Amino acid sequence: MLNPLDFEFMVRALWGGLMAGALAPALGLFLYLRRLSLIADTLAHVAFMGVAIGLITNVFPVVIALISTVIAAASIEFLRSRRLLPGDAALAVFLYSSLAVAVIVIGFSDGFNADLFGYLFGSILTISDTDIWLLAGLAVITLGFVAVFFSELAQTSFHADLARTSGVRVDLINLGLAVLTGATITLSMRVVGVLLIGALIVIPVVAALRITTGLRQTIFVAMLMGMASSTGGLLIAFYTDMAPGGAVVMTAVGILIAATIWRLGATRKPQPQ
Amino acid sequence: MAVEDVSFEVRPGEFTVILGPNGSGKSTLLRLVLGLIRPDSGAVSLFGRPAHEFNDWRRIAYVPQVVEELSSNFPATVEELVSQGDYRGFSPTTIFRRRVSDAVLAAIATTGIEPLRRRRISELSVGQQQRVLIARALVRGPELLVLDEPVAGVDAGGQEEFYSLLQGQVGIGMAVLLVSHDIGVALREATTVACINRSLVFHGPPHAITGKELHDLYGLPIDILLHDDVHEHRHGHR
Repeated sequence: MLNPLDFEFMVRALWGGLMAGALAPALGLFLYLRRLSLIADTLAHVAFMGVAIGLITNVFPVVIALISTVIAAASIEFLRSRRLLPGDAALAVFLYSSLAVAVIVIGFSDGFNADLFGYLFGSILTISDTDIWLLAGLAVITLGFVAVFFSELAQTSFHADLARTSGVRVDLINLGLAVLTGATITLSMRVVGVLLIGALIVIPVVAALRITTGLRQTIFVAMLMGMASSTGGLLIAFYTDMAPGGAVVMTAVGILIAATIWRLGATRKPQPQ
Repeated sequence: MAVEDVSFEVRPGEFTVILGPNGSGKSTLLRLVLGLIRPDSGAVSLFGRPAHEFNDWRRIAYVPQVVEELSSNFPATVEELVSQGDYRGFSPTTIFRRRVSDAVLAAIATTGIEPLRRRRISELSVGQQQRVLIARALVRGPELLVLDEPVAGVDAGGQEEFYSLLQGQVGIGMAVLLVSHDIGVALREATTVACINRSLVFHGPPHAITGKELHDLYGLPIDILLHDDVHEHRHGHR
């Protein structure tokens, strides 16, 4: 049997998977609790537009995608906080307009379908050292943000007005969360792909919430589940030649099912009073 | 919802109920008081400062309606949630702080929720959740407590306990401002009632409210009967 660690591309993919798997649910928990998990899908489509523009203009696709998602994230938060557009309307407008631009750009070109497929569905063969270092930098910033602003994030996701009347700068917390989500999605694209990255943001969180009690515990368990999903899925992809994005998400779904069964088993037992 | 021509004051040791039907602008008024929105004209002051500039957050506390967020899946224990109320501004090490402060324990004791300390809030009844929110508000020892329809969905016994808890706080000098559509609550519990229906219909002690004002407020003559009935009940109560 092949040892995946003998292959340099696989070592890089696993590092990428570990970081993407940890970051996505760490941010995803707060998005999910505020019923904003759809922002991940929107930003993923914006990232896809950035990649398409980058591929056709031959300028670093990841950099263009990163800039696009950060600008989109900030704009969505601005429109929401100023009540210029309802939250879901802002998300829909950004999702479809960026997808439309991507479709137009792709229509003007031919010959980069293979690359584009890699971004859409994930492609462990194409993860570069630069991708890994960028992800590592983002991991430090994101985990630092979550740790340092833990109380503010918790209060904001529990009840925004309550947080405001405690002196929390809710608008800045939301902005930070949205921008870091955009960056995480962009840099995780190669591992799971644009179409499925939203799953890594939501599913480990839902799974963790099945079995945890407190917020600290939930974030920790969700990150572990995310890392297990991504590395497990990548290994399955390695041995079976499956598309890595699909394998990662199905592993996450498997963990969710296991957590749900565990929960059912736990609630069956008589509860001590 | 717009409100206009509203002017009143809340003083220490006063239990003010803002009474009005649904859609009367009660919640807008409350958001103005908390500085969450700015008035187009006029002034809202908190401790002598314009409400939207106010930042001495430990002097005020807010108890929202028991909302979906609570009953859904929010992953916090009672202790964690009450600790949120002890927020003293940005501190980078909060995530590592596991010890529960004495103020949190005291608020949990005052509201009688010790047995629930380590339970997840989503497992609690609405009445219990309301107590958790009150504890969260009392942690910081506020001088003004603002509550929005706090007993919606709480059973009768729970409501009575809840109001005696609030009266205890008023007794030690806290100012309470409570929004409600429940006439009975206003007549029984308040020291001052402000009747709102887009504008201030009445402001004064509850026994001075007449059937006319309640008619103006709710547009239903039946309120006159209800008014007398509640008065009797109130006298019998004390």
